[in-house]
Amino acid sequence: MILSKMNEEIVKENKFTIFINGQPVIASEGATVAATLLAHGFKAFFNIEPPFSPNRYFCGMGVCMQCLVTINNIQGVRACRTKVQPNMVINTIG
Amino acid sequence: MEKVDIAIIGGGPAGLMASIEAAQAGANIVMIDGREMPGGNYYKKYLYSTGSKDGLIDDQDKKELFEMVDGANRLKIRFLNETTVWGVFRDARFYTTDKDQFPTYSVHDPSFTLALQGPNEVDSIEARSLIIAPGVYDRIFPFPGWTLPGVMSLGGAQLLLKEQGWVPGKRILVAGTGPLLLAVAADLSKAGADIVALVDTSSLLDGWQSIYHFLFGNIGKLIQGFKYWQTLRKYKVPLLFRHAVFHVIGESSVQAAIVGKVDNVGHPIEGTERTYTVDTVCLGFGFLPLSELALQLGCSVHYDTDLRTFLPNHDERMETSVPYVFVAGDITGLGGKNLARLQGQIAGIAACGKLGFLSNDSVINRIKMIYPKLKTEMQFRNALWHQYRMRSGLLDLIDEDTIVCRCEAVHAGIIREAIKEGTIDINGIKRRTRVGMGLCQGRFCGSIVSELIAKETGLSHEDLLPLNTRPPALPVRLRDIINNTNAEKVK
Repeated sequence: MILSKMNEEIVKENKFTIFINGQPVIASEGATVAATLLAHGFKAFFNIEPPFSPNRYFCGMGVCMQCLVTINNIQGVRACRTKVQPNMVINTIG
Repeated sequence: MEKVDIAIIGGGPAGLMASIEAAQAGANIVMIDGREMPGGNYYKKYLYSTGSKDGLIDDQDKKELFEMVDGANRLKIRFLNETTVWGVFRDARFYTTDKDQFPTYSVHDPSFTLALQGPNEVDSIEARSLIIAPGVYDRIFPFPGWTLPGVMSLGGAQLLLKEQGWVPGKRILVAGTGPLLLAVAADLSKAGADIVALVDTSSLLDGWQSIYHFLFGNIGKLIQGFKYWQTLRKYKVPLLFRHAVFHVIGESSVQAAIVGKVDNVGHPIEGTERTYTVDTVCLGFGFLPLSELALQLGCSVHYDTDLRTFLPNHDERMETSVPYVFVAGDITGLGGKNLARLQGQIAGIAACGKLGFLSNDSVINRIKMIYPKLKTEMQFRNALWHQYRMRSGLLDLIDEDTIVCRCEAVHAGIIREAIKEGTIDINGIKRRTRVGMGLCQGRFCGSIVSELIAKETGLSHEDLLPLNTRPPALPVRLRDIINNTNAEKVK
């Protein structure tokens, strides 16, 4: 079903507001949460107490589980496999 | 529960070709993939125009993808997108009550149950045959500082660039080993990043013996490699062969990388270090197969000494040691897109033969036609990965405080101590130290723990087993499982 949707025309230029740590920022439709966070300067996606390392963008394909963030109050969502939605609330602090 | 003849796991080059062959033969199939669109990691770049910066698109590849998708559309192939297969279960009839013979495969018409999670409101599917084509992910070799934000895998950097149109950094170091280094460094340069150096553990000089295999029938790939090399020369990217990143330094993210020389087996050479100021490090030491579903099913594996990993065994029809279960694509040994397409075709044809949709003669004839091309690709694959084989001397870079298992924050010192005290089985080390128990299920640390055991004890890799894998293969929310069970009851 989804196969027929595929064509060259998927230009995704729509912009909307999302919230990162309570701050409104502009995000592009079709972008992943990970790319949006990186574009806004967030290299560490989630800080966990040592000895654990901060979450960050790593494999990009959903297998490493290193980019987990809190989205709309749901913990442990993979930022690299989640697309931004209007009014999405992303938290990178515990 | 929904029943199909063949479930194809993975919608990349292998999965797409297998689906098309199977649907053409008249089988009722379903193709399952984690992405929104089919094409896998290889073809992803042709799907989003946000990523189509000038010069990053190969027209031949694009044509290939659209041909496959058109074919799939014409055959009305059912595609479950954004869906994760978190478990595969064999029909209970697969097992006998006789413990000595466990498990036996006497059943002629078995079924497999796939546990799914995704937005398509299908939580499980029963299939008579499986084609597993999940592909690969980057292999990472740990060293001090590899867990800092700003360090990412080569595949991750490429996805950001080509799928999201985002250049991951300003001053980037590309390091590791393998052909993807050249491709990623060339693409990042074109996109405007400053590649401070390309650091490759292997050397072009050790590859000359296999030059015949490289040249024979594979001119296209060499031309591609030469193009990358030309791009890197144009942007004056320093190419450092027989070098490795020794250490990444930074407070909250990457600030500098220390690079030094290594010998031909990867041992770091002291006194050769120099420091590069960078904000991003892209790492990749070849690839590892996503073999957890094959392992869950009990498919037998063998150890590949060049790739330094376990791969599922398969016969010339791509069938594994578990009847009715086929594998195709990079999971069989990183053959790349062309080999994946051919293997996908064979698996699709052979699965249909097994289920009676094609006669044995026509299966044999069609596979015979594919085999010559397959052989050329295999030769290239073997020569390539011998050239870019993992060099175990790099293990010397892992000091006691280096994190090996990032998910559970297990340091190399703890693992080495466990080995010294006599725990020489990878699953024993897992139970003892929690290595591989985290969210990624040992995908990144499992092979390193094997390497450490082999190094400390002198055991050969063939004697070590891969980490046990059990469902769920990926984290699943309990709420989703509970909801599924309830839905089943209501039905």
